[in-house]
Amino acid sequence: MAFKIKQMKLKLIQTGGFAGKSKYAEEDLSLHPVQLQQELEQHFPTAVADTTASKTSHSRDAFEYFLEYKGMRIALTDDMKATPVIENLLERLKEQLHY
Amino acid sequence: MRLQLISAAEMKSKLLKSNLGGFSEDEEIRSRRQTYGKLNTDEKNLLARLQFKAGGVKKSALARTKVDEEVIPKPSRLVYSAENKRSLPGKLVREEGSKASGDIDIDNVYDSAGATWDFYYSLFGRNSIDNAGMKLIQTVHYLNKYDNAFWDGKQMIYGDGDGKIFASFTSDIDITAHELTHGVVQYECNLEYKDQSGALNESLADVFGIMIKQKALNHDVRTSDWLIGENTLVGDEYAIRSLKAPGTAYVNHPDLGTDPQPAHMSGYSNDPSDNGGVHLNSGIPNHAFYLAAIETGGFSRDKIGQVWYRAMCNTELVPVNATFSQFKEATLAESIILFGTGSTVTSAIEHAWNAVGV
Repeated sequence: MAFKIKQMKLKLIQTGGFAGKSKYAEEDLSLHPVQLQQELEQHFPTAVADTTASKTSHSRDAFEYFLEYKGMRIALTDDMKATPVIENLLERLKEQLHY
Repeated sequence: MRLQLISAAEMKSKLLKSNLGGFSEDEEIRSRRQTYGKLNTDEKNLLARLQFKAGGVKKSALARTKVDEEVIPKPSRLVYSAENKRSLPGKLVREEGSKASGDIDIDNVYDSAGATWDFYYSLFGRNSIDNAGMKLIQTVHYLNKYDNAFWDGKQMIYGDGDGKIFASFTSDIDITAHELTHGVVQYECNLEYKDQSGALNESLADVFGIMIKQKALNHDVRTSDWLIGENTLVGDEYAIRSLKAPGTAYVNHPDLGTDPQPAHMSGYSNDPSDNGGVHLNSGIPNHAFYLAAIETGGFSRDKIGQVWYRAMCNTELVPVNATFSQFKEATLAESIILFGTGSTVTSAIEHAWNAVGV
């Protein structure tokens, strides 16, 4: 009997940089406590999807980070890192980034 | 453009008045010197001929005098180390005039920033990033194995690289010059960092980066390799970008694949992951600059570089959201002013933009 496991992948995307090459890392949230998913989901409905640089920022060639979850992409913001459990997950994902 | 030369005798008189509080002599001399610095060779020759016909000036202010030395701007470089942490600017490790530190990253960015400052001042009379003597602040050893260099709006920041794919981002003068030029763009046309204006922003940083490298190496348009970051991307056969042949800087790289830059508008693509493809589509205006420089010959900075600089500073023709077409028109307009409508330079620029589909 085959079981279909529902995967809930969170994808971290690093874009920009001098070389302009994106890097990626993924984590299956179904392997994490439900609490993490709930905390993460709180950020998605309220976030405005925007994949362009801030108009007020003068940073050039800096890395930018985005999260993809359930088909939605949002810019990674500092307030998302305020939750320790999410911050730890993001730090681990950053270490796993690859081309 | 109005320009008056100033004789030694006149300078003494003005200095006397200045001491009496009549006006700021420094400002006037600096302004004249900067205006003179923006002239091309023909204009300087014409000015010299007019000066001679007008009775001559035995010793112009453009010759070095004791007073001159006091008003010639100099770079003000400050290099910090983040000591592989996130703090900025970090610990001051070298400042203007101090001797080499022995740390290759510190000394590389100190020297490269000096060459960049000298390039902008000697060719365009520009005093630093903001044309007002802004300090050149650079931080090296940012974070651990950090694969990037960037301009944060106030300073430059360099990582050491992971050592496998990327070496230290201080390894190439064109990268330092690129980042500093982002600062110059910020204080001039201030192109928005998205879509075509963002790609122009990236292109200007590469174009001035390559010119500064060419000047440092005394390379002309034929002897230059037209490569950006060839020492930073590890491997003799790799570089990060090519102005001569966008899309070929690295081919079948084991980690990065193949350089995706287009050289023609037919390859233009909107990459939402990179602000509309700012690092991708910059290949198109980059190649236009290369083609114009090759057709004109000599040193790229002498003619085509002059045109590109004036276009970058022309906020009427180059708005913050400028398109490639608008920048093309700006370069043609500036070239006509400098070299004339039917000149070989203006023709070369028109051919170049047409060739890349703009």
